[in-house]
Amino acid sequence: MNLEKLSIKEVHEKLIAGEISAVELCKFHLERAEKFNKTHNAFTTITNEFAVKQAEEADKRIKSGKNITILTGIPFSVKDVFSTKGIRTTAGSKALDNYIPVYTATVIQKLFDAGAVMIGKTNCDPFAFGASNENSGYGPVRNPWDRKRVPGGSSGGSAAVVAARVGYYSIGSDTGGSIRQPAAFCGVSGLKVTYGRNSRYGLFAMGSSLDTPGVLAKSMEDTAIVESIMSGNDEKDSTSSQRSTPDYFKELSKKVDFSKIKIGLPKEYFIEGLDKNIEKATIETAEFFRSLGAEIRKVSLPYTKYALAVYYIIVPSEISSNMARYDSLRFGMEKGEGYAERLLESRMEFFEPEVKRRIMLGTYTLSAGYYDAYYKKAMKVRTLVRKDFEKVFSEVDVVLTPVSPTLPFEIGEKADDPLAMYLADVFTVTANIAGIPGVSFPAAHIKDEEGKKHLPVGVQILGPQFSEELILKLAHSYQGKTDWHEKMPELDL
Amino acid sequence: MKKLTQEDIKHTAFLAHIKLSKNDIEKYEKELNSILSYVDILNEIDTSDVKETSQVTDISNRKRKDIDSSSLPQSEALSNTKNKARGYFVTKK
Repeated sequence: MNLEKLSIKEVHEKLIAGEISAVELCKFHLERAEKFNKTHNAFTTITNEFAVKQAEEADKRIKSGKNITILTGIPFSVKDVFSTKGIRTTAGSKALDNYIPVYTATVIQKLFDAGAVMIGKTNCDPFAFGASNENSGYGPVRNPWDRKRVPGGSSGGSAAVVAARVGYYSIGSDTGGSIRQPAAFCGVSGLKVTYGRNSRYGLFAMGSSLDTPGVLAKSMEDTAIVESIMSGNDEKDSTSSQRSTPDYFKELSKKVDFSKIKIGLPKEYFIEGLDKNIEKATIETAEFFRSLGAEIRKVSLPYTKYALAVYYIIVPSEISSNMARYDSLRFGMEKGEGYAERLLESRMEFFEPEVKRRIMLGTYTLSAGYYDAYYKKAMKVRTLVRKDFEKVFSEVDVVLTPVSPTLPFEIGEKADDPLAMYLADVFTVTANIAGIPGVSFPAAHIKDEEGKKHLPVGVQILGPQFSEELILKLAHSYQGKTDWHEKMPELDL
Repeated sequence: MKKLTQEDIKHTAFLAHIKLSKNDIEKYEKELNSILSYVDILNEIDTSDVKETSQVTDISNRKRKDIDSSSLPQSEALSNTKNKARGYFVTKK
C-alpha cells in the first residue's frame, strides 16, 4: 500500500474508512524510525510506548466518531528543542541528557489535542545552535540522500526523518534558517512563519526576538494542514500575535490569479559563491511562475550583505542571556559541589563547544563598553534590513531566492572554521531579522561531484509579515505541476 | 575594532560562568577575533539617525488577566533534581 508515501489527507481518509487503525499505522512508522535511526542517527528518543498509547486514544476517537481532526491518528515527530511533558527532552545537548520536562510546548499540545501521534524526538544541533547538525551532543544526523553529507541544521533530524518518510511531518524551529536550510538539504518542504504567528512557549529560547516554531513536511499541502492547527495566539507567549489565523489548508484550494502576482528576484542573493546549479534552479523556478502569468522583476535589498553580521551579533547576545539560566541546580546534568563550583564545572563539562562559543561571543558583545559598538549597532542595522523588505514589498508581492549557497556539504568539511559554517546561513537569516515568513521547497536535483548521488536543491519564497497564506499557495501551485517534492532517497526501511 | 586579548577572553569567561582550559583560551581568542572582524563590516554604515529594532511585530505591554490560575505543583518543580529538601531546592554556598 506504500503507506509512507501517502499525503496526510489520504492517510486520514484511510483511518476514517477503517482501512487501517491508528495503532497499526503508528507501529509501521515506529519500525521505520528504529531502522532509519540505526543508519542515520536522526532521533534522540523514539517514543514507542507513548506513541502507541496516543494511537490507541486516536482509534477510540475515530471509532466514536467524535472529536476527529485531520491529524487524528497521524504519526509525526518533534525536534528535541520542544518541551514534552514526561518525555526526555535533551535539546541536542549532553547538558540536558537527563531532563524530563513537566510541561508541554503550546504548539505541540495543540497537535496532541488534535489527536496526533508523536513517534519521537529528533536530533538537532545543541539548543538549535548550528547549520549542519554536527554540533549535536548525540553525534551528527546523516543526510538520507548521501550518508557522507550533513542534513543541514539545526532541524536536521526533522528534515531527514521527513525525507525518509518516517512519520508524516515534523515540528522544527527556525531562528536563522533552521527549518528552511535542512528542508532544502533533504529535499522536503518547510515553513518559517512570521515572528509571533506560532507560540514560542515551551520552545527552548535561543534568539528570543527571532525564534519561530514551524513545520517540515513532504508537501506544502501537508505543511498547510499542520500549520492551520498549530498557529495562533497563546496567553503564555506575550509576543504571540492576536491576529486571527486563516485555515491555510482550505485556502490552498482557491486558485491563484497569477496575472496579479509580482515576484522579485533580489540581485543581492545571486552573488559570487552561489553554486551555479542552485542559481539555475532558482531562475527556472521564476520562469515557471512567469509561465503561469506572474510578473518577474529584478529587485534590490541593499542591506542584505550586512544581515549575517547583524545576525551573528544579535543571536549570540540573546543566547548568552538565555543560557544564563543553566546552573545545573534545578535540572540538567551536574558536576561539582556547592553552587559556584557546580555552575562552572557543569557548564564546562556538559556544554558542547559551539554552545560555549556562542555564550562567550554574546557575553562579550553585551559586556560593559561594547554594548553600543555591537548589540546596539546591530539593532540599528536590523531596522535597515527590515526597511529594505518593506520597500521591496511595496514593489512586488514576494521575493524568490536560493535557500543555501551550496549543496549539502560533507560531514567534517567546515568543522574547524566556525565563520565558514556561519556563512551557510547567509540567505536565510534575513527573514528572521525582518520577522517575515518564508517557505522552502525542493526545485531541482543535482548529481554530486562524482556524478553518483542525487542531491536536492531548495528555493525559498519570502513574503511580507503575515503573508503565510500567499506564500503557501504559490509554492503549492508549483508542487501541483512538478514532482521534485515526491522524489525519495533510496533507503532500505 | 580592537582585537581581543587572552585577558579579554578570561574576563568574558568569568562573566559567562564558563571555566576554560588553556587550550580553550587560545582557541576562543582566535575564533572570536575572526568572527568579530567579520561583523566589523557594520561600521561601514552610518546609523546615527537610525532607531534600533529590538522586536519586529511592534506588540507592546501585553498583559494577562489578573485572575487566579493553577501553577506548577511543588513536586513537579522539584522533579528534575536531587538537590532538594522539604520542598526547597538545596545548595551549599
